Amino acid sequence: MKNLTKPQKVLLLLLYGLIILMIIFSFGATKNLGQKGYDQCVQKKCDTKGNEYCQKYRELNNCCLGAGGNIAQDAGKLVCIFS
Amino acid sequence: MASILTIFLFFIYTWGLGFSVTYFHKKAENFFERNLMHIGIGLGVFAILSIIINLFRIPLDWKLFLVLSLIVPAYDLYKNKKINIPKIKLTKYNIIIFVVILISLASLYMYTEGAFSYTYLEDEDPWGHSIGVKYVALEKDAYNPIPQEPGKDEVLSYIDPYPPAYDILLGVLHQTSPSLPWTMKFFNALIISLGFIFFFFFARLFIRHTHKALFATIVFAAIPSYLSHFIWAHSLVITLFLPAMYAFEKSRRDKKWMHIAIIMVAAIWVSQNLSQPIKISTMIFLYLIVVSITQKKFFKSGFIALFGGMALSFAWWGAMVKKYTLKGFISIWQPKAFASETVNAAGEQVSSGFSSIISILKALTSPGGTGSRAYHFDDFFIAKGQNMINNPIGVGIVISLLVIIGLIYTLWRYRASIVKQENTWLCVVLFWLIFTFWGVNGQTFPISVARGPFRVWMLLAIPIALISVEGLYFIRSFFKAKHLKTLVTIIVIIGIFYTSAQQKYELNTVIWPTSGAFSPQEAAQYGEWFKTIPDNTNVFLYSPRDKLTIGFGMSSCAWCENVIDFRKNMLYHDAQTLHQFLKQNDYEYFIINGRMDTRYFNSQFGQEETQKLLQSRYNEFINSGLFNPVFQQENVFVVFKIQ
Repeated sequence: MKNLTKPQKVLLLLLYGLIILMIIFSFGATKNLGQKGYDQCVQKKCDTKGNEYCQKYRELNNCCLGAGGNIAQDAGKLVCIFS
Repeated sequence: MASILTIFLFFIYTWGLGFSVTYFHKKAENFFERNLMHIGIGLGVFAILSIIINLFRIPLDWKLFLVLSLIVPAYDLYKNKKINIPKIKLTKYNIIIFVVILISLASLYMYTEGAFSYTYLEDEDPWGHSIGVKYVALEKDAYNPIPQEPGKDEVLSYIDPYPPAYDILLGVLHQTSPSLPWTMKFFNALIISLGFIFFFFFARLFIRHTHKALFATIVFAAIPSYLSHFIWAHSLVITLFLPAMYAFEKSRRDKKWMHIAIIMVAAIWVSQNLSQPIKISTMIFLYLIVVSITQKKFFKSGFIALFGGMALSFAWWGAMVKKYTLKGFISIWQPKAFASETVNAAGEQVSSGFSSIISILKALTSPGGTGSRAYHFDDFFIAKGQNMINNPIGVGIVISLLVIIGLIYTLWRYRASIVKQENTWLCVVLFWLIFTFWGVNGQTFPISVARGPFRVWMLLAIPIALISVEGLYFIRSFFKAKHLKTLVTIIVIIGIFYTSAQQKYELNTVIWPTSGAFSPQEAAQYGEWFKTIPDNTNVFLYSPRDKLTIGFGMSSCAWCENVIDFRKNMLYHDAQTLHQFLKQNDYEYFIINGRMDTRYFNSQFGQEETQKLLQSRYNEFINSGLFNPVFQQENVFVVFKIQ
């Protein structure tokens, strides 16, 4: 560390800082999993782009896959199944 | 039908242009490296040169490109009065290059096997590109002929304001290759496959280790998330990044190469609609910053190349801003950029500059996009054969483990010295890994750093391939005997094959679905019929879907003003008017498709009007004697020969 120039020290701190941040964010991302994560994802899409958009198959499927589930039909409605 | 001549011409254009721009530069000593990189650099030269030629309204003709690519080689031949036939020795480096060429050929085989396993074009984008390719091939121009309202052009959607280098390249190749679908499928696959060769030469310069570069190339070719054979401009823009980085690396040693790097950056900026050029430029910027700091010397020529290249790309973007105005141009890309307009005291609309900038920044890093979603551990760790076709996701178990091991080992071994001169490449790769991993996780991380997370997967493959090398060499370091090290490498490669390459092969060789305009099976049925008539026959679809006709290798002047105008009132034209129009415009066949026509006319003329008129129009066509039914796919479509 002593042999490093000032810019190198800044770069080093930035590198390690970003790596730590990525690890924290990655752990934080686990909250997207499961039914709760699916519901949150759909809700977010509904809030930002409207009901018609968030109920599209593609968007529901994206939310479901992102939550670690698989989309299926139940009584004519699309639901996200988690095994 | 395959065109051997066009394959030959492709290599002449690219090799010749690459040879020409590097003529006064110090090149690689190795014969294969030198000439293969001529092709990579020539690909970039072709892209920006075609834009400049188009700017001056010189026709984009294949003969012009042929002459331009041969001037300097011909001069060189005249000057030296002989062709230097190299003495090729069986050196270790040459053998490794042959292995890399084999990887490229295996990829080409995989991509073409998949692409040609069906007669149609996949999904939506390739059909859109097919119109652009046909337009360039016939009109020899890459500006939209009809002034369109910004963002409303549904005909030439990948030309103007979309940067057209990809469509120009394929369009010029189509001028000598009669079959448009063959041209698009084959050359798209070829461009991607050549990328593995360019990657190897870049990695070798970057890592300064030939064996490590070879292993990185094997990993790179095996990662499912790196480019499928999907036909879109991303195939070109991502491939161009690799010879561009080669030029940047060269310019670290020889400043003259800065000119080549300028050309390559400009080529990147005219090959895809901003989102990938921005991401790639960010990666180059990170590289320049890291190199400047670790080398303790400002990488001036590199920065000049990056910003000079972006400036050169204004040969396209400047023309677009002039055509659409800056506001109109930004609105095409981000319609909400000027939505925050307020009314001033005089009643005039004024926009808040700050909110517009925020809106544009948000657009540049928007984590949306059709295929974007939150990704979790399994999505990275386990590669799947069933995947997205445009941008597959996933890395695979063995490569993921190598990345994790490589990352931990690198940080543990080098600690503070990671930012020192000798570790420059590793430091750059770590920053690339952070940027692209963050980009992929745009929907789950609190801040998004790149637009369209699912399109960052292909860029993530680059640092993954490079860092996995460190993982392998760490594992190898446990073994002292050379043959054990080799054995470990072989086991790891076999592991990569079974956990990544096999899934990539599966995805790239299965039959892919196509446009939503078709019902299942319909596209294949159309394809079978289109195979029975000569390439480029004029065929008119009743539905406003000329891109389907063109994508199947036929012709229709979708961009012609008279066709666009005629289609506006299509349902109101009786059989005689339609026949007269088709005859005047040299159409030979006319196709109706009840399901497709109803769908598109419903949205154009309303359900009531369509119900009232469509069936009676069909009856008119059949009873008029002007259209002779020559083929019928039951309950799907009917083909008429125009009398």
